[in-house]
Amino acid sequence: MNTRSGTWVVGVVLAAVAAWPTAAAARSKDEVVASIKARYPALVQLLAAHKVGETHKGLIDAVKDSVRDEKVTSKGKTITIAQFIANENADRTEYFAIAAKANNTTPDVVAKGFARHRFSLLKSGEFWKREDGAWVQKK
Amino acid sequence: MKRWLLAGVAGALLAVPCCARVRVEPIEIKPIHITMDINIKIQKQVAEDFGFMTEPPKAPPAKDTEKKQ
Repeated sequence: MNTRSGTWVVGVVLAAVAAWPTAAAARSKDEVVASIKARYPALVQLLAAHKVGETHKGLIDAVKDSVRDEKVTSKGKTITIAQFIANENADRTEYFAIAAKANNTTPDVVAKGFARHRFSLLKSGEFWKREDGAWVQKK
Repeated sequence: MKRWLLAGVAGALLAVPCCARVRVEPIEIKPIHITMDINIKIQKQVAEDFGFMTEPPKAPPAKDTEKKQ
């Protein structure tokens, strides 16, 4: 083996090692949807309690900052609402990226479609964050 | 001679508006179609993937399920 091919082998090995955590962490669309589904019952309760609301970006947010430290039980674990929001938004963002790639579009387009879907499912009185940042209750 | 010159200038000035040309740019409809197609496709995909959101919440099983006669 000469020096040149040796350098190539080292390069390929280093690239594989660097890519390993990313490849291991990547989830399929079904796995991400299953994760969102498992969290959904808790989300429904938080929406009904007016503690969190849906946003025009297809994500969720706390209606008031004061509720962020409150506890919620989701997927068998008790966590803060702030953590719950972060987990849900991470899953949704991952879904937007996967669906965008599959449909040859951008995650923003998927997020807007998802937001429309979520808005249509909000019940009367539940909170919706508009593009101007204002919270409104669905009529 | 002067009259002829004036008449010629006036004639030329009157002829200018007659030569006005209006160019109409072709209307592009294709990109709008594509955008709508993507939106419909995404809407279908979301509804399919998150169908569980539209299902009514499951009621807890009743304790007394036997029929009383």
